[in-house]
Amino acid sequence: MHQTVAPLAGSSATTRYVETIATRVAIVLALALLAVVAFVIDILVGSGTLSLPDVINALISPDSAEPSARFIVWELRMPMTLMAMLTGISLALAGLLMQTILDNPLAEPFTLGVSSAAGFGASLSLGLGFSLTGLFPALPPELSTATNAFAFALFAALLVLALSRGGASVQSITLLGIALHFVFSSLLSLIQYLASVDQLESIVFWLMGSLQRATWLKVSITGAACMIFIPLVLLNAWSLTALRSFGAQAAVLGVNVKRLRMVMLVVSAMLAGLVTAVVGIIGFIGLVAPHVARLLVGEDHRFSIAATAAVGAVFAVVASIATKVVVPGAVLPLGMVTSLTGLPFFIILVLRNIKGEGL
Amino acid sequence: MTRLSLSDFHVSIGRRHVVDTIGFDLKGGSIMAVLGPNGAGKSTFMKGLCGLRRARGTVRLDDVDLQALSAAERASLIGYVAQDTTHLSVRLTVFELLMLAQNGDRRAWKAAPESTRRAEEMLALLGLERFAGTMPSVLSGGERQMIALALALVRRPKLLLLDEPTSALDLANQLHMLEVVQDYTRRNAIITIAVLHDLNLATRYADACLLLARGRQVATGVTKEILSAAQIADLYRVECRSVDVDQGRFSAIYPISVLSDGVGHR
Repeated sequence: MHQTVAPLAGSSATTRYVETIATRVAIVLALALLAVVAFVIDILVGSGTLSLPDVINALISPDSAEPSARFIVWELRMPMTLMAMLTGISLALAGLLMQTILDNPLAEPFTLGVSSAAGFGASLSLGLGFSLTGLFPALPPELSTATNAFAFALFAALLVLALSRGGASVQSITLLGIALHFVFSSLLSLIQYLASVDQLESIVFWLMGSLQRATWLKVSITGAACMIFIPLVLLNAWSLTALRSFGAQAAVLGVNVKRLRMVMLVVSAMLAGLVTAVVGIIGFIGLVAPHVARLLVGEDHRFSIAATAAVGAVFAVVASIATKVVVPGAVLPLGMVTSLTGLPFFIILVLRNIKGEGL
Repeated sequence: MTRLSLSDFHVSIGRRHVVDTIGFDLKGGSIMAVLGPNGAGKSTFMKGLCGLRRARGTVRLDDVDLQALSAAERASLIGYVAQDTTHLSVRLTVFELLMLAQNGDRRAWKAAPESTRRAEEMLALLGLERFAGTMPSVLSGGERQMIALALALVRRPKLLLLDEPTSALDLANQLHMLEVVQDYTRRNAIITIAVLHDLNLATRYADACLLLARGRQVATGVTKEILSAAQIADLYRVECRSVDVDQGRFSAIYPISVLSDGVGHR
């Protein structure tokens, strides 16, 4: 066979491989550090009149801080920043999983109709006063809209799963998701049409996505879900790389392709559904973050999972900072900022595809 | 010694039986060529054997019933090279793919011990060391076929399935690949089953042949006995001549003409 590339001069393939792994680990650690820096800045920045020393004092020694400063830092800013980080991680990971299992670079958490179903669930609570929490009195009232949104998001994902049982192709699953998206969007429009002006305002504001709904309870629930699902995803890193690389033929490597697709579809829907239920609809993070991560660390999911989570966290937390500083004295909806900042990335991705560089 | 035994083997696509009632025995160190006209079910048969298509019947490899195994257990015994290598257009280097081939179903962050050593050994065995850091997408079709073979062999299978492995190769590379396969099969006493279209490659490299037509087993047996001019005329509707080559070590088959009921009448 003729040679088309230069030989690996002076180093064995194993050495090169180990060096590549070390580089990728360093990139992931750098991204994690960047996320921590963004996290600290987000805590320090706020729309209130709190000075920087007051914030730092409230963070370091809450007991000696002014009660108002302590409240703003620990009850308002900290839950919002943590929620921004969890939102970025969850949506980015959900996007990575959807792109892998559906073999579609443009798939994102909402491809299966999860966002429109969550929007419909929230609008049932905000527009018609119906909430599933009525069926579960043990749940606190602050979760009424979030519970509805999550339940319908999960319902949409399970419906796609049920309809695609028996080995549906990834194209069929995507089409089912798109069909569900339109069904729930229409139902959402119907509720908006029937709602009063005040109710309509609440629904529209919810759909824009905002971190101001974050509370410690919601942060705890979302954080716990991440702590369960992220190890599960990491455990399947090799199999996900095999699925991404070989598609259905990953089965000849011992991967149970059908089960892997089903489990990761549910995990993706749960991650996206939970954060959407809390903060509303946040676009583009799930689409863009996996692509940025893959550009940095490649296709090996052992690295791209962690890198995607870190990129998502940085994206969401920086967007959270922007929501507070773009218009002084006001906090913009997070979903609006992520869509505006994510759009250029999306256009770049599409242009790369047109030029044949691949997504 | 490794033994493969198939009986009453069927493969389905949806509810339709595409391959019916296949049965034969093979012993370790031998190569079987699967031959037949287009649409005979050759690729489907191979996919059924490696678990990519739903199959039933008995497939015993050294007293292990492959049909009763999980995907992971079956994968540890079978290596499969697909007809189409477009799936190798991934953004992983050849070395990373060799690592992935050995760890695809692994549930741990670190690769299995010995993976890097085996990957290096496989590159050396097939003479592919220079491609270790290269992505297959920039390689030629023939080079990708060799990479696909390396990915199958690095798992150290007992049963190697090759679906038209030489389809993208020039003459020299066809011979090179099949020499490698034959040598590996003999040296490791594994069983290789390969779908081939070139009858001369079959007579040269295959110890046994399975002839398929319309999803059914037409004949099976020792290559030299099975691939007679009459059998080929019956299978492909082509008149052929067969002559002994290399003092009768194998035979060369050359086509004369398509029989009147040949093309489009199978």
